[in-house]
Amino acid sequence: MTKLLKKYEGMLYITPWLIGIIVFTAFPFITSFVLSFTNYNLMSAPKFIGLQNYITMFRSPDFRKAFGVTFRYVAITVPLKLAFALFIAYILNFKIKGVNFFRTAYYLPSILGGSVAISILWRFLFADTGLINIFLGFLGFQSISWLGNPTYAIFTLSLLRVWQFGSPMVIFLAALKNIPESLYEAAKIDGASKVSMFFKITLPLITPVVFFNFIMQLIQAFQEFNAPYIITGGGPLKSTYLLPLMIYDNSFKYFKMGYGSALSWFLFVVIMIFTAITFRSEKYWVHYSDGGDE
Amino acid sequence: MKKIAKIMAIVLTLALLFTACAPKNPSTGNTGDQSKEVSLRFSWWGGDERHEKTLEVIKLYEELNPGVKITAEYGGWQGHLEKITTQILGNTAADIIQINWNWIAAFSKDGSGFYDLNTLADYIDLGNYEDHLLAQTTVNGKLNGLPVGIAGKVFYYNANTWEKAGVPIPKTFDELFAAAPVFKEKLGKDYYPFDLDQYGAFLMTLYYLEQKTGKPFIGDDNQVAYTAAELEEAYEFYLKMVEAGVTPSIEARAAAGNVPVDQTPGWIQGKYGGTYEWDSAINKFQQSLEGDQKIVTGEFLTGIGSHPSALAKVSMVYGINKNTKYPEEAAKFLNFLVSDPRATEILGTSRGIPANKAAVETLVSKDQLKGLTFEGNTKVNEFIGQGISPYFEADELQQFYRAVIEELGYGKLTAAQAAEKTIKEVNRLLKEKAN
Repeated sequence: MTKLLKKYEGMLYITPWLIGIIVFTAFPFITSFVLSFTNYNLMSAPKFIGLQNYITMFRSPDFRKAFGVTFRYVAITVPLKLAFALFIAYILNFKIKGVNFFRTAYYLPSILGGSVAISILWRFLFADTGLINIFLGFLGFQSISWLGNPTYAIFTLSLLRVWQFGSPMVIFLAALKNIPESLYEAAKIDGASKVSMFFKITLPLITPVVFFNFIMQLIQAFQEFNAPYIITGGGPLKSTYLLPLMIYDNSFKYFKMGYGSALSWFLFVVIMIFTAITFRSEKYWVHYSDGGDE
Repeated sequence: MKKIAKIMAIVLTLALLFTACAPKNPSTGNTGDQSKEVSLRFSWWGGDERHEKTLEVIKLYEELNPGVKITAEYGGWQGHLEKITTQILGNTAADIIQINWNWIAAFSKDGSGFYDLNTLADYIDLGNYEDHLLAQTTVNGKLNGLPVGIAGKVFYYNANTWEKAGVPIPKTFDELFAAAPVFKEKLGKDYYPFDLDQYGAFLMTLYYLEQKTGKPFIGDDNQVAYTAAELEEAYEFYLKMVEAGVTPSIEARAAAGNVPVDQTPGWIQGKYGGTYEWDSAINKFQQSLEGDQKIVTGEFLTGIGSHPSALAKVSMVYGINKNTKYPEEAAKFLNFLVSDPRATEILGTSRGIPANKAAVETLVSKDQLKGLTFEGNTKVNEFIGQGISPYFEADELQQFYRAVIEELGYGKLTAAQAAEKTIKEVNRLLKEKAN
């Protein structure tokens, strides 16, 4: 008995987690794959229709538009957010007075997370009569239709996520702190400028962290839902109608669960491909200083 | 000692697991026993006024019926359908559910989606309803719900804004158009005599077309009844309204973000002179106005054609969950809610003018039939059009109406292209919905 217990004790400890992942992740994951080949309106049993959902999807102009918009959103948000996070982390790495206060202050927006409340706040800030426009008017600028112009709306949403740069920033900061001071001293003696020190020493040494942050942000950006749902409702002219929004509408509003599942799987595959490409590219630009290649 | 602690830990984990997985025991125990507590859930959507009054009725019912406990589940309209859908499918829906009329078509195609209220006629006085109203909530001979009332889209105006502009409230479209330049000149260029969001604009074009042709949007053959030329003319009319400054452009409205009309600053501050709104929902528009601004009920605008064209439908429906544990108790509460004089007096017209005759009698005797909702409802009944198809408000169609108005408003489509697209897409979606 004790022997048996010893053997499976570890398993027992993780059972709650195992059950959680099976019930709430694995099961829906597999179910949605099966459902993506069916016509399922929730009320009656799913009907197998083969690849029809995928065919409808690729033929749908709405889908092509949503995919394009999602892509643009990711392409804007991820680099901007990473650059901004790194920039702030770099500044906060200097020995300046009250640096701890600033670190906390810059991290604050991220604690608020992707919450509904922050999206509503954003909507008020960027509305035509919102604080941002009042401020612009104060400075003598024309007010801008942040949410009403199909070109700007997606930027406004990106800005919200860029503003929440705290978590990549903290990770960057940790990486920056790990760079030995002696490298900079040596470079200084050789007469290197601040800029070349950044590009020749700092950046190469933190590439593993850039890599990690990039993948995390990429996945998050592809799954963005709250902000467009609340701030713009996907409008104007579907310029912020991201794929997750389309999945939601089809599944829960139009009762097209099968089609919704197909869209989800498409999104999943896209994220997979991008992640795979990033991993593939790793050997060309990511340097592990503790690795064997030195 | 260590071993015991380990075993304890394992046992505890297992115990936790099993309790989590075990089916929930009904906390009320034996259902047949009347002396035991009955627990019902009632869900609805609405604004604050409706919430407060409904909660008051629930409290009263609980006082009058010891042993019955009613849990209220309420919220705003946005996202409510999704919530109810998940609940119905997951079999966790409330016992008494306030539903939108068209949800019957979605959830109960064969009539078995909700409890058949005909079988509960001993507890609900169905004689309080006109047969033609009950027919609208009956599918396959099964009464899926009680119609709460008839609601219509009404022209309401902000009296203060019109007063400031010094223009009398319009009775015809011509007068409305004539007011626009006065608004701009006297009040400012961000003032408009009337507000239409995407959906409002679409409904306005239908109002125009029904008045002109006497046909409803969707005919008995489940197809768009208007010709492309007719739709084009109506879309042109809407574009003219925007151009003349009668109503803000879609782009100007979108600049406020994705907010309901009653929460846009333009409405709250009185920059919009009027709105085309359901009579049953107008109170929240009144409440959201800043300061002492007052809404007044307007006439149905004429001058387009000879046909009455007010849009009306069964506003809401009370259904009973087909899997409820206490159908009789639920029915008793429902009957109290819709017809009891005490309940009616509290609720007033917070859900529009009731369809229940007993409730109307109470409201008349207590002199409660007044105010914006009642005035609007009376006007709707005098100008009522052909009614709408149960598929008209399906979410996918609504999304399309909004999209097509947006494309029109942003100039991506001409009126002619929009008309063609409307006929093609709406017919396609209608066919899909009917299957």
